Amino acid sequence: MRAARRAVFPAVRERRASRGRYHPASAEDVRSALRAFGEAIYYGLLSVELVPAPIVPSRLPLGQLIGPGRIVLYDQAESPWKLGFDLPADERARLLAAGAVLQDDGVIAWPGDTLRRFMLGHVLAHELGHHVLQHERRLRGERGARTSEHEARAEVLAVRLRALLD
Amino acid sequence: LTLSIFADGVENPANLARLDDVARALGASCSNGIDGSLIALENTPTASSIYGRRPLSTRATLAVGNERRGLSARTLDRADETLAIPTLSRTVKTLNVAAAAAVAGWYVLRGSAAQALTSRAEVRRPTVLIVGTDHVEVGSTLRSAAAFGFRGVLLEDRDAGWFGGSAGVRREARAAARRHKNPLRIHRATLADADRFDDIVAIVESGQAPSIQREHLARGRRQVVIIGAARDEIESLAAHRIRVASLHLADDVASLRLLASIALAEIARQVGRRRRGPPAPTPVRYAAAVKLRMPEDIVWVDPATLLVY
Repeated sequence: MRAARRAVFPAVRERRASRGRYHPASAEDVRSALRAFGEAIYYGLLSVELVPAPIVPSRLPLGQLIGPGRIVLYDQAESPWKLGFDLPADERARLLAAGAVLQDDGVIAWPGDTLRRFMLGHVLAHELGHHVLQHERRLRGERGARTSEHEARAEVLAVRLRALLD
Repeated sequence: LTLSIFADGVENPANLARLDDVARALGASCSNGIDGSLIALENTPTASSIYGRRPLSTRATLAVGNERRGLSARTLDRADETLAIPTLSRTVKTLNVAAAAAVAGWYVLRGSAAQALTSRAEVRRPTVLIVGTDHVEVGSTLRSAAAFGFRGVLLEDRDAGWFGGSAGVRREARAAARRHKNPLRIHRATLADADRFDDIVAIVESGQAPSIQREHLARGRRQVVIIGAARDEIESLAAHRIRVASLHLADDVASLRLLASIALAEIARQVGRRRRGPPAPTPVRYAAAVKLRMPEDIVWVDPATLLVY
């Protein structure tokens, strides 16, 4: 009889944030969120790392799935964010839904613990959505779906996971 | 005799003398012409390895070339077969000509299995303890060790002058070792240090002992292989757990570089070279980011315009 396999809880590591930045969701917050999401979601996930964000032109990096089984969440600037850039309409809608306050001069404020909830409920949950799709197909060097479909399915799962956090 | 050695343009008289030693050691002869099939020893792109061959069964001539230029084009054109000694170093890719002739001649005469393929060659590589009394012999041996992929060796320097010789002696020794591009680490040691290892194998040039090819020389760094020590010294050292392996050369050859180069080549064959597996898959990445858009009211200014202004 084949032994039932259990999901191993992933390692959650926190590296010191860059100067003037911080990790809105701590390692403990991430562990709590993973427990709330359940074994079926983190099955096959090796690690979640909180790391300093890279500098990417025209992007504000939030997190990344590095397959197979590794998720990184990037440190963020203290609220409010003074970006000096405009946001496309879909990005504005996403941030507003997460609780951000968008001001006319391009300043984004995160009242209360909205940024922490955004990192867990939107960024981590979305990357877990990518992970689940990749892992259920046991893919190591290939993509489980074309990118637009992958993003859409990851977001569907992220919506479900956000509900578990509320 | 089934093998003769043809020195094609070798200039250094000391190397010619060592080539005579090689011929005697292998039971071959040195010749000025070609007898039987011609085997060229040269690092050409199409050369095949000295490892993984059957023992020589017909008359043949092994041709080795000039110290700097290698074999002449004429000899290479006439060659029935071209062999190369597989080296593992990025910087020291050749051996001393006499050492190369000894290694190639030994493997051509006896044959061997192919070089092992492994994913963890460095874990299999044993420690080597060299005992030397002549500075040039020690230098050439260290050159061979680097060429065969060793990163460090133990050296018992018995008045060879590697560590404490005069400036001239040290200069000659380091030139022989190609020290300017030889990154080998050389640690001072004595034969007594071998007692610290779990597994001790001594290589001798001749006499009653199993062949070196029957000895397992890839047990990792807890194994020490002693090269260049006299047989009576070896027997007085940890006699109950030392094993002796022989190259079965002629008795009267006492050149460390020949003995050591063959032994190091055999260790390199058993340790093996890295297996080239399929490349690791590129990790799939899905990044989450806030996309930013340049504000529309920005005015781009060419610096040249400012200068004009």
